[in-house]
Amino acid sequence: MADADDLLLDGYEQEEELGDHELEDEEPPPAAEQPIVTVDDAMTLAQARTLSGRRGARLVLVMGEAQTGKTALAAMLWQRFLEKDGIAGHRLAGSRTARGFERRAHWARLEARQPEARFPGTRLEDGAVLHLRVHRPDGVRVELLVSDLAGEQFERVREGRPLLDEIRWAARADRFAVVVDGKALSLRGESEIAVTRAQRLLLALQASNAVRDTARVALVVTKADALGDVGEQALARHEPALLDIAREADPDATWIRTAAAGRGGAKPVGLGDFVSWLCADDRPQPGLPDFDGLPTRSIAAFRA
Amino acid sequence: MSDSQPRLAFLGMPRTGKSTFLGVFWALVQSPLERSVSEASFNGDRSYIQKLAEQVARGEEIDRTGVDANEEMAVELAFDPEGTAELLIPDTSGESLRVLVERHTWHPRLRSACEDATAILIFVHPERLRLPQPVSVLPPASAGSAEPAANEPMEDSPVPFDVHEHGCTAAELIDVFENVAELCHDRWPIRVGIVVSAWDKVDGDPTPTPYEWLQARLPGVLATIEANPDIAELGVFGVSAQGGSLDAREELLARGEICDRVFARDQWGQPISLVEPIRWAIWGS
Repeated sequence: MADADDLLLDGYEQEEELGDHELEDEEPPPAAEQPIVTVDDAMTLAQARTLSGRRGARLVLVMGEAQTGKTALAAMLWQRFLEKDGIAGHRLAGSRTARGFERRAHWARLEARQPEARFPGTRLEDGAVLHLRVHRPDGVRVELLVSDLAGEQFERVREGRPLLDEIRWAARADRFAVVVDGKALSLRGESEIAVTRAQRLLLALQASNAVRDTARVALVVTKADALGDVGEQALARHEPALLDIAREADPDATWIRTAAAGRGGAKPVGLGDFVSWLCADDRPQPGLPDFDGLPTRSIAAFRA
Repeated sequence: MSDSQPRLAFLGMPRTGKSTFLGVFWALVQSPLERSVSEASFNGDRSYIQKLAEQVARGEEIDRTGVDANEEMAVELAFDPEGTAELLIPDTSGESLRVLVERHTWHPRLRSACEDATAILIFVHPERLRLPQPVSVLPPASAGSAEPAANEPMEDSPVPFDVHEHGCTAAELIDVFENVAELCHDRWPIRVGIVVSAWDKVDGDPTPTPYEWLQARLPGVLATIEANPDIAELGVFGVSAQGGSLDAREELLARGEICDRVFARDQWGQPISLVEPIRWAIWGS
């Protein structure tokens, strides 16, 4: 597999050469001209663009350092959609990267022979986007392209590398999920670090001006089942300040608490809120009158 | 092939009952007791499907279709009351579908079967499903016990993902649906039938309908097809193309001829002829 940076930037650069207008008008190649090899584990942005050319797609940047639960979040969503006929009224409507989801969901299944879900860190070269098509309760289908990137990329951002230097396509994202590790929040000595790291990512978003007027931001607490008293206190203390920073980029920014399904038949937590947030309409663009128009074929996700 | 010729693609992983169904269908076409379908023309090579039908009649295990096998059913049939159809059904191998799912590569024969298909029947065997079993099904870890319980997964030896061993059936079928839908995008919506084979193996009190079974066992697959009505029109069937287990062959044969043994259910659980999935695939509801 190509270097993660190349993998994603290849598509990005091709799109820049084409420009917005050409992208919107571009027809996907006819089936006969498509390569015989179908979409692999995860998609390059070039492949994603082909997909989005037909239906439009929403690019989701999940941000967080290593072992904070980014991969688990994607895997949980996939697992739940396979187990159950819908999450909070949202139904699975397909995926072009089913095997990529399977590869990730494996670590939370019996076949991995682990006593509990444990996900290996995403390596730089494995970073990519996964495709999920979701049918909303109102009947609208949403094409999601959910990133699963190596935590070290966000470590570099936290240490001061500009977000758009590290992830050049970030300015095209429609959703920014900044992950806050609930387990770390609950450990004395780690709690403050977890908050600071999330805060640094929010500040990086702000500094890069990557959040467009229509994009949405959420602070996603992962491993919320591990939140003990220490974690709850830390959240109560820092929630308002983090939310204030997030709301400078997105006035509708929100908190979402999630947890994987634990042993003993426990249900996952917060997936309904998460998928509802992912699939909600974009924020209305300022200055445009509010009316019920027909959707166009333009591509929200890959606009320059 | 004429433009109006119905061409069905039978898809399914190995040993999901595709060839058996084809053999039984051909046996019913020839049976004077099955009046809803008959052979409209006696021309053409019937050797392959005749062999399949005879194996079913004898209660024998059907030979597995080879990846490069070039067998097909090409017959002109008269359906009552719809009319005549020049039906073409290539007998695709389960291994070629496995290649698609595991290597993400179209085998030319499978691709050819799919790209010209007017309808797809996807076969699923109820006892050959790989379900996505999460660790949450394990009992809570016992507090204070250092010893793992019997059958407890071993912490020190996590098993890495192997698509051949670990990919779940639902993910495989979603992958198949996506690829086939893409290939047929110039003629959406296309009929996609899920045929649950070996329906005699499905139990429950009450026995679920084929639709309920799909909803319970493969909800992600059901949702994916239902959520794309512009791409696919869904049909669900339960079929028992042998009528029972080949392990009890003598008992099975004692029940009579093929048409006495086999049975099928529509998605609501109502008895139907085993011809119905083909009829639906050609003519629709």
